[in-house]
Amino acid sequence: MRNHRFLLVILLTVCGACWSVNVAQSAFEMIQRDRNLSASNYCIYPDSALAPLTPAPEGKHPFYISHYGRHGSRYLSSRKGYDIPYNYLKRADSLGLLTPTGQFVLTEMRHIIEDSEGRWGDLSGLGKRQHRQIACRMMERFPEVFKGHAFIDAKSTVVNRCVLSMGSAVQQLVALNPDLDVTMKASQQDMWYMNHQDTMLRNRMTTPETTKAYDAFCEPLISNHRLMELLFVNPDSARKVVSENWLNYYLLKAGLIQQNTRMGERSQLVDLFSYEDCHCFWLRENAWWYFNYGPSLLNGGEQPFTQRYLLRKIINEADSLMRKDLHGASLRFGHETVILPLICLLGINGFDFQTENLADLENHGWWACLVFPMASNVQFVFYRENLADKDIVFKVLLNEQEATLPIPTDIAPYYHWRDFREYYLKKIDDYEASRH
Amino acid sequence: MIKILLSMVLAVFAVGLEAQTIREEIRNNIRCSASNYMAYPGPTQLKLASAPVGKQPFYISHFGCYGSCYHNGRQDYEKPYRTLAKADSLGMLTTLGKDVLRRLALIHQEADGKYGELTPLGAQQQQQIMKRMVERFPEVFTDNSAVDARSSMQLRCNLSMENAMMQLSRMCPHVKIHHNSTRRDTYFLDQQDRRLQKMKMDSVTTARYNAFAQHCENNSRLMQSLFNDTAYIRRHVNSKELNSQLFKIASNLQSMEVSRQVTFYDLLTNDEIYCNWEKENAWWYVNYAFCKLNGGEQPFSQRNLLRKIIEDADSLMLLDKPDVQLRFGDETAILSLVCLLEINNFGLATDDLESLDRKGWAAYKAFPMSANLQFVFYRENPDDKDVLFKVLLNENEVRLPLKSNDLPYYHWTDFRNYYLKKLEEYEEP
Repeated sequence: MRNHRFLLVILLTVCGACWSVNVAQSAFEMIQRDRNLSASNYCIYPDSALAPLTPAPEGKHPFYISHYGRHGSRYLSSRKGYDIPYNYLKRADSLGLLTPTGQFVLTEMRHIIEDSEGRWGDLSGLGKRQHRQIACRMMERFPEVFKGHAFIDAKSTVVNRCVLSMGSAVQQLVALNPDLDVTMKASQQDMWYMNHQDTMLRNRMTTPETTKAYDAFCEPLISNHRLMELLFVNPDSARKVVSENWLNYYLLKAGLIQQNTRMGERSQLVDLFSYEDCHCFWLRENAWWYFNYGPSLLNGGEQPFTQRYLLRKIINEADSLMRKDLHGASLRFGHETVILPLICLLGINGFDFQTENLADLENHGWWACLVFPMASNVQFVFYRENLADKDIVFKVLLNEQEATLPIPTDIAPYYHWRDFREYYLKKIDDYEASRH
Repeated sequence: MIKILLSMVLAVFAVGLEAQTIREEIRNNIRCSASNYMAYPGPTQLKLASAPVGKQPFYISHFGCYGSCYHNGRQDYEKPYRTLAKADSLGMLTTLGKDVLRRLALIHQEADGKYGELTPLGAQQQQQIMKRMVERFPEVFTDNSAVDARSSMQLRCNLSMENAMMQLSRMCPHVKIHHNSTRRDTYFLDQQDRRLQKMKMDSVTTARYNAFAQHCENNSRLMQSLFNDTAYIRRHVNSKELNSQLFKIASNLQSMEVSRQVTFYDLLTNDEIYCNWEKENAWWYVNYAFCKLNGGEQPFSQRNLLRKIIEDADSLMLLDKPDVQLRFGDETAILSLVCLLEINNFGLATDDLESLDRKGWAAYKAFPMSANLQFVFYRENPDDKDVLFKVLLNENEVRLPLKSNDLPYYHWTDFRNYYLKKLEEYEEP
């Protein structure tokens, strides 16, 4: 029963996000509709019509939004990801091993590298638009939160693309309401929760068990003979200077990230790959994100606790705010390596699903791509009758869609804040007490 | 009549200000002694010259430095603290010394974890500058206008830009804003010239600078006010270093929230403050201005920026829509650029460091935190071939070494000819 409900949530999410007109039954189906959706953390934000929101609980109105958002679409972080396929192709070219298609791909890689040079990791124009539009919708959907001199406490990690994402959102907000009282901050001082690095958990990410399981899972997914035939006049000779597996992986990855930049319209790299190839890539990426940032049992199921400081901060700030006669929003801008474990820690939409079997993920709907596309975001929207109201309720939006939490409620999709506090503070406390 | 009288009084007052020596100016406003740490004072010129007859502003080209920020490193706060704390543990501090130790702890508390970052005042400065720009030149900020803002890769520059853009968006919600911070722009926003860098403090220049700074190194009064034992000072305190560290903190305090509670200026006499300023000012002159000691070329480190300003203006003039280009970088860039442009008397070329005050070369006039240059362009219509412009340094109209019948306006063609020639002569001697 739980599985069915869980699947339904996933299907609704996919449907709501308008990634397809029809409900996707599987990741493969989703990819069949658009190969770009296999891009995992390189997926662009599903910026389109949203499912309508549930009306506010009777007598209550929204007064506060607490948010964490990933930076918007960006360029590849470093040239290494392009150099690997480019250098393979160049070497093969120097030996006369490239087919006309191979030559074309080599030229295309050159164009891509030229376009990215000096822009490694930069927010793209699309990335800025995503944040403007998200901010715009946030304001349209919850005008009470942003009315008059509402406070906007905007914070970003110290990475430039996050600062620019924050700036884009803030520009949109003040354009719509010039009276907003905004502070923007990007400081090392806040990094302990905005982008917490947990050395102990990091050291436990990769274990002999995860390596063994991941290698076994990927084994049938990594080769691509068809691609080799397509690019090289003599694939066997090419294999002496080219790693088939890595060429397959990095070339598709290079193609998929282009949807985030102006090159998206020009690049045809993704067309070299079949739906099956893209699905294999998606499976590998999804599994990788699961055991590194999700609640995988292979390495102890504790990785999501990297975000305990962020969650505690979200709780503390909300608690303080509720005691004041204020309305407004706390906006935080950071990274996918934060939002994914945060969503898992919260168990939003069943993302706390735990397994040792990486092959279970697709069927159980543990699809990281639904959580962390570029500009992905989680919004806690708080409601009350008035300042004296002791029963504060809230709902959670994942990428602007109403989401579920693993705590009981009589007012779904709303939850009672006191239930949330109790459940999650205990969860964090228990983890911290057991940490060794 | 009253208006005329008022303007006469203002004019006399303005002349009076001009006539002040720098020593007097610093005495009247200690904050000026902070050089690059001076918090942005805002424009002193309240009324700008009216537009040239028949013309109106259509383009603004800007370069601005980040707003008020904290010192770059923990060491800036910790080193003097440690010196005093150690002495305190040995009972070697005076009552004042103990109090300075207390103040240092307060100051460090605010800066901790935010080294090199923008302070709330810095954010406010950027918003206010943007606000005045829009208010002073509303013709440039129409619904059709495009604004292209770029910042260097530094976090404080990026945040400065974002604060300015927030203000702009607040006032002109329909202006099309493009904002970016990318390594692609560092060639002009943060140009590094290794050759010039090496020349800055060659052995001869260093010797001359040290000799000049020598007369500012008597810190015994300050030390004796902090420590209660001269033998301890002699054996355990590097008084030259401690003086510099304390002055650096004193200078930057004006940018911090904690300045509402504490000051450091009471530790120093007017003469000591002036001496510290003189030493710092000469350092900036040697390193970033046309100082003859090290070849007189340092301002050319900003040649890419100046060329970019010229090229961008040339391109933008071809458009029939108003446009704004904003660039955010470092104080070192704006100081060199102001010298390269020979604005007011910043083109001064001398090897006599002692003459700087007399000749009115004071870096703080160029580069307080949030310092900015605005080139404001005027024309009758897009077909007008005689484009005029004026330059505002920190929002005050300034003079360039060009002839003009219509001051503070200059002909763009004269500017192009003069500065492109200057750059070409430097690049291909």
